[in-house]
Amino acid sequence: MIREICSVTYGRLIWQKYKRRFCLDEHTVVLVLAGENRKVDYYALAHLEDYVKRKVASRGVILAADKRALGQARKMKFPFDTEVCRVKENEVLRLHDYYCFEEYFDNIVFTFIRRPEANMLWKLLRETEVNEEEVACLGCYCLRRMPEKKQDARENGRQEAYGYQKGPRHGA
Amino acid sequence: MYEEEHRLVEIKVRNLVKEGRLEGKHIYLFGVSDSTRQIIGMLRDFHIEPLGVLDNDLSKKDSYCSRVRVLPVEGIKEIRDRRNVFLIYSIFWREMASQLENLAVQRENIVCLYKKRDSLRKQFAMAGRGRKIYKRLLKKYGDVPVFICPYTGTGDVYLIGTFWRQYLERTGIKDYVFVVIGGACRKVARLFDIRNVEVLGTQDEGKYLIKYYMLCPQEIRLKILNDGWWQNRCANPMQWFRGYKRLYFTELFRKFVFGLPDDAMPEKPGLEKEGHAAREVERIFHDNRLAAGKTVVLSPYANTLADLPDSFWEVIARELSGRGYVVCTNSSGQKELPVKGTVPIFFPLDLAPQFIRKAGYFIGVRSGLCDVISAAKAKKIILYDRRNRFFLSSAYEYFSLNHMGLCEDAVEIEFDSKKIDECLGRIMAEF
Repeated sequence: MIREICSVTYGRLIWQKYKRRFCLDEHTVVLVLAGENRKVDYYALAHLEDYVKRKVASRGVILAADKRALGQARKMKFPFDTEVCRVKENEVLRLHDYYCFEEYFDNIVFTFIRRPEANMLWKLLRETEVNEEEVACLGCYCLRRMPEKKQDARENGRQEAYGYQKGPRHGA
Repeated sequence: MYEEEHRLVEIKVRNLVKEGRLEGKHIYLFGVSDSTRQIIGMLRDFHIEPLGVLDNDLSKKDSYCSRVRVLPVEGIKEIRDRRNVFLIYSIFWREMASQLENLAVQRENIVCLYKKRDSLRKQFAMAGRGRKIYKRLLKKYGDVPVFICPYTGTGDVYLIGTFWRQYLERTGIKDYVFVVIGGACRKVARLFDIRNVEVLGTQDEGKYLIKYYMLCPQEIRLKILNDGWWQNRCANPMQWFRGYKRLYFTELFRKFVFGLPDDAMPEKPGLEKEGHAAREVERIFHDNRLAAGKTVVLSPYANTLADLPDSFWEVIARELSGRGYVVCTNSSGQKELPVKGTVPIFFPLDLAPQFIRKAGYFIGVRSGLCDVISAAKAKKIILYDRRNRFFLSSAYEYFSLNHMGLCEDAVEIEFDSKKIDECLGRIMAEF
């Protein structure tokens, strides 16, 4: 138990570091891209605006350890201030462990679909008709309903930018 | 709301009343939820009736939450009126408050009842308490897996019971501890062949156990028997898909709690016809002068769903009495008063199916009791408010006994609270 307490405490220290570094407050949302599922990460980025609106925030901070996820985030344009930053994988994991133990910030979202152990989003994708966009909107952002569809042209443009087209659903 | 939170909210409400902050005010609550229902109950203890419950989900507009009208935020004409007080208890309190502030509601008119975060130290202490509970269980039962039903919902425990045998068979688990919160859940578990049922006195104790699990998942062989728990959006986000794309109560438990295949169906408990249960039911019938096969049990109370006016139940009682039925109310104390003109009765949950079978008739709003009596061979009329939503579907779609596979013979009626007479007519047509 001591080891886990240390790990969570370490997560808290990382969080405090980020909080200072990115000036995080209730007007900012933080999106942590897990890099576990590329499409979930993509849709989380595509719907970040909806999340910002819902949280009545005005700024976004996107963190990722995964290079590809980071690349996705940097190509995306948002109608509000955003900061994209590469962080260490270990820090992302500790931050997430800490969040699972204590929800320390209302406006932070992780796109993990397999972490912690009880997270069944991967199974939801594999065994039901729920797709990655819905996982991002309902599961990660808890938007409680799917937002209106964005204009196709804009969406297709983005998808091309990230190297895939809408198609059959894939597992995690 | 967990017990500790419930106590804190009660204190906050009492203080608001003492300070006179609610006197002569137009009180609104924000968000249709169980917690909101509980707060309405607290206000009513002080004879305060809220004017409305606000909700951004337009499908809930004009429905009722504990008999209080549900309105969209835009539905309040003079939202800036200084006499308005908005009470909020929700994990989404921050955006709710911001939404009101953006409509120029004064900050002092918004009261957040949601608790402040516990310090990390306190949370470690909770996990430590959970560890003690876990060690106590291991000492008593040996090194076996521990299963916990984290809520006091009897319907949840019943559904778990219906899959339990198949789950054990599939996983090869022979020995285990089955932890429930409160005596009512133990009684429901007793209907099934579930061994080593351990009762925790409070939901808080269950919370500690889960806290320990979240801290040390590798140290503890614990499985949480629910599709969502503890308001933790991150640990298990399945609850946000409730009712989405046909992911209803049974489907979510079957697939995501138990990992059973789609063809696994809920199994009814075996109800003994003789023995202790039968004798006990016989005794209640005799003591209350009830008539076998000619008794109607009314169940007007539910924690999560539906609200019908007292007059609705009184009409049913009068009509059925006139037709020669003995009408009684399942009533368990001051908070659940019997319907006027009916016999107040109380039967323990582990006798409920046998009791309803002997009575012959049951009319109730959808509650956990409906799950428990679903296996009884009787006329079961279950009522759902058409406008009542549960997460992403209607309450009926999510909780229908027939669709859940708990029975095939329930008469399930969706009523429109504005057209209560229609519902009465449909009920009476069944007699």
